[in-house]
Amino acid sequence: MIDFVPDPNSPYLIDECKIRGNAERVVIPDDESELSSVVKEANRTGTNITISGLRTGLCGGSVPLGGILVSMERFSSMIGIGKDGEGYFLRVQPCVTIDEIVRSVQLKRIEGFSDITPNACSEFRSDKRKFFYPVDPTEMRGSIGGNISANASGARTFKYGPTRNWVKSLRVMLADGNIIRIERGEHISNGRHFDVTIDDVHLEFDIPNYDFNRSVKNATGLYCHEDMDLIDLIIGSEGILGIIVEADLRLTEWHPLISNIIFMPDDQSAISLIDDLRHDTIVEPEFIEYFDKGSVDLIRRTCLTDPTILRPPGYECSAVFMDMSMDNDVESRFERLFELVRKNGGDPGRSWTGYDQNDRKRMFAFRHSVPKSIFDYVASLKDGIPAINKMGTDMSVPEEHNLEMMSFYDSILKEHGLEYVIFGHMGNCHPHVEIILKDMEDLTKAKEAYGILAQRAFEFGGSPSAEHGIGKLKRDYIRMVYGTEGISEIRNVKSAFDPNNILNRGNIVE
Amino acid sequence: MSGCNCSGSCSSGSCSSGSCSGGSCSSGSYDNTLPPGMLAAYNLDQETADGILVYIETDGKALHPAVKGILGKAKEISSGRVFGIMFAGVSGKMLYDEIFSYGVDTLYHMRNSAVKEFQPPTFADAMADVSHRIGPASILFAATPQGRELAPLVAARLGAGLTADCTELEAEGRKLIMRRPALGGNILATIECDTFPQMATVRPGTFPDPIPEIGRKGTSFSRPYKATMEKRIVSKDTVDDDDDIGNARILISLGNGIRNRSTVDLAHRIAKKLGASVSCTRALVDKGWMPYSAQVGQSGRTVSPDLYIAFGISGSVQHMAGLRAERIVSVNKDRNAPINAVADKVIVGDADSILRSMLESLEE
Amino acid sequence: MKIIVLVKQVPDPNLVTISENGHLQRENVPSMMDPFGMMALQHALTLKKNIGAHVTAITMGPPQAEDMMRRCLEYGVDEAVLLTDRAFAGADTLATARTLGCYIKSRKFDYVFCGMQATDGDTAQLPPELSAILGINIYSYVSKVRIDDPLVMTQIYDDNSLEIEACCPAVVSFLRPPEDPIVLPSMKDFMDARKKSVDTLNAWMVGVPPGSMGSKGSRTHVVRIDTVTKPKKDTEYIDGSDSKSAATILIGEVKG
Repeated sequence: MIDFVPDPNSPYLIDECKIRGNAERVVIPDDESELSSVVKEANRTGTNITISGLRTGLCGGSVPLGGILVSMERFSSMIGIGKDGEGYFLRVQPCVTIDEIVRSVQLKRIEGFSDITPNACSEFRSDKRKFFYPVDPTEMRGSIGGNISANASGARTFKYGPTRNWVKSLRVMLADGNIIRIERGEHISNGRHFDVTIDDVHLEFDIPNYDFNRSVKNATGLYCHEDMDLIDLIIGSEGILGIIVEADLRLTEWHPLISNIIFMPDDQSAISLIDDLRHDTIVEPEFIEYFDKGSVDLIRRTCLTDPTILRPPGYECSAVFMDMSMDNDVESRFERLFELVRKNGGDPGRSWTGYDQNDRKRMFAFRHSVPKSIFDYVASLKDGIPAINKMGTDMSVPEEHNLEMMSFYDSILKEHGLEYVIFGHMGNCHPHVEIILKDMEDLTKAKEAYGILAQRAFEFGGSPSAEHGIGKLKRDYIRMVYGTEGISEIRNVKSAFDPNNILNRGNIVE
Repeated sequence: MSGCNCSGSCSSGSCSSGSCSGGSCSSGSYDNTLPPGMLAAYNLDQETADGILVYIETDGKALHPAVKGILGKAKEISSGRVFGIMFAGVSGKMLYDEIFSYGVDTLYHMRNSAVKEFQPPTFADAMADVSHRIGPASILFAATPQGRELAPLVAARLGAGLTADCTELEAEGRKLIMRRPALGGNILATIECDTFPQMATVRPGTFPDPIPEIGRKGTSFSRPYKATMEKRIVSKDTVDDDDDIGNARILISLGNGIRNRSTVDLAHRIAKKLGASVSCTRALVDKGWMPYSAQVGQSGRTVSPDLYIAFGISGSVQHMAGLRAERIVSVNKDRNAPINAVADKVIVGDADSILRSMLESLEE
Repeated sequence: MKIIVLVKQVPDPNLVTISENGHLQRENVPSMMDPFGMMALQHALTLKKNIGAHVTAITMGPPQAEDMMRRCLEYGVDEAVLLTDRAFAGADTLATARTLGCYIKSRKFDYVFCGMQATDGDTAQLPPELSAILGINIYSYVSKVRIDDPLVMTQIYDDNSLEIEACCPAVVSFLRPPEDPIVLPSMKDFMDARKKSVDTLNAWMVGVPPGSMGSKGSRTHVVRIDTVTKPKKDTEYIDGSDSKSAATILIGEVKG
């Protein structure tokens, strides 16, 4: 176990939201017993413990506010493979990265894995089919523990849902240092009341009275509804109920996909193509992403200095990025797709298509180049490295309000005199509006506009925080969505698990 | 090997009309090569083949540094004589003493005043001709761009087996045992040829320079050769030698972790102050931030500095293949970057800002 | 102008890894078109776009390489030819060059474009050997092609760059991609290519003499493969979040 007093500049005190916290100690336990002793001691003294994985979060969930920062970085083993009636599952420690999971499953690199069920490893290796873990949270270097705690989602959520859908069981260390295994389907609440005993640990509490908005992509607060599964309460709880020490993840059969980036004449035609595609039963898109004209222009600019990024065509365009299955029906899928593209004023010849792993990688790199392009753009305006460069929204709305929300983004941001581009998960009605911050004045204006936008998304029946979570940055939205009542109900759940309030203090609720 | 000297006369216009399309234009030369594997004219006598022939690359004034070690090795392992072949003008005579001092017994000084540049097929024809005359057991080249181009041309003419980029050579009598690293240096393949001559290119810097035996004598033949197939050179450009990363003792090397183009300029300024050179990974060449001549790796240059400071380099197999440094210091945000496993020191931090601070403290 | 492009299927080098006990792991590694061959293809396609060159892609490889040839068709090559036969297996570069040469001689062409080397072997021997077998000139390490009459190409020999008149016929090996390469095929290209097919030829159809192909035709043989075990280093890790002190450490490294 490593235990040290961190330097104020230590990387352990910051995550990708760039807010810097503070801690008296950083502890890096080697195993569960060391972790347990740290937790027990903190529980006795009432010291705040902040759990950190690989610190790729965007809302400060792993940024410590005093106390002890426990880095789970040594819980980084892939444990094994099992198989049950629903198929194969992978058992991992929380600090395994998504990239490691994807690779070992794709390449079947499972040397040293244990059999969770008899002969699962050899069966998996010799299985002719290919498998994959279908959640693609964009940031592949993040930890699976962090992904589960935030219920991460991504482009592929359009078809496969968020992380929640792929967690079969969890081992969770509670604030008293005891570990319980929560298996999906074994602990269901009676209405809104839980009364469960797991491994000699007894938990009895009421879940909040609100219904977690499941009609849109949502990562705002604790998940809850009547007759819910205990495991779903832990998933997305941002570490306030317990520490994930092990997870079993479902795998699903892989099938070949073909990716297409379609260049449409303008934003309007791209959005309306997406509307046509969303529920099309012939094309059956696996995800749909949108790039407005401004994002394509920014990428084109960046390509001048970085030719490794696919260069957008020379003509003015917006773009739609979608994946579909490359099976025997691929020709009829394309025929239908061509029809829809033409109907909306596009040209099937103005597109890119790829199915080979590397070509698709390049297409995804194109998608991910938007944030970097914004950075480059702001840097070029300032002739240096900007301290701030953008603020990205993370709001989803129900489909029927998508167009209204889109025009609301336009009118509010224009009203505030802000420059912005829009791209992202339009299939889920969850675009990322990237507000370009050229100076501090922009930041003030953007903060104000952001609040108005989040409020409207909520009024439309959407979520003000659709995938990044709440962490310490977005607690205001908990109040907006669930009110004071909701906050105290969440606190009650937390006290049932963590009576001394030591775990990840400050996440979701103060 | 004649009839293919198309220089000047073969316009692309006439090419498309078919007059120069493979089949017709070069049909004359096919007679020499068909059927494949039956280059009868050059088949060496398998019983008597002996000695080692080394291609002595020069720039007309001096030996290529990579040749010396190969000559030393050839002297050490040859069961017979060591032959050298050099293409040079009159000034090549100035090099005789040096060449003999490294162990060459017989030197073929190939001369044709009309040939000014490295002309691969012409040189290969001449070399195949000399090989036929002397019947060496082995032929060695330095794996420089020239050597890597010329060796296969000669090998195909002789129907000989050729192993690229060897890092170890051994001999058992006339038999040559060649070893070369593959897959980024993670495996070492031992390769043998089943006919004479046995051919290999040798990675530059593999063998130490031999101690010259001053005053050692050898035989030299000045031999004219025919220009058979030439390329017409429009212009020639030489990159400034100061920045030759191949000879640098200290390299500041930049990888994909460098986020800003301006950092590249910082690195050059730091290098100047520290007497270092700047190299990079393929990613930065692809981005157009650095020239190809600065690229370290499988498809770039092999470097062997005393100190290699890797900024934002993850250390792909391809990159590491070109790196044989005494000491490696890695600056990387990612503690688990593969390069860190072979580094002597790792600084976990942001490459861009650390370079900036370096320049600031150097300028203070 | 008729251009033949040689492409090759290789295991994705980024996914070939070394296990802790030093074994090479290439099982289940998806294959890809060798990046250098891809550069050659892009140069050929650029010439097709600009001056209407006719492009034929050729590979020698296992039957699965048909996927890659299909991709070439999607990129817009006019013909795709796959030479595949068990008898080709185990070929060294000379036997490969003879097999390809035997087929290429039956075709009309001005240039044979190929990558300078392939990432799975890095020998860089095939292009010169092929040129010798075809009895035509070779332009190696080409980084740039300028359209002129004839084409003007830039070769790079370490620190020297050489602009040459690239008279045909010739083998051209590429070191760099064109400046503005064809990015990806469009959906329409994909559908159009489904109407075309890959020509698949075996040894008999190519007419390669039995003694000059595969391992029989090879003059070199791998007699042993050793895994290189690199000693584990005692790496010193330093927290570099303070860039000032990190800079001091680094300058100290250089100045000794």
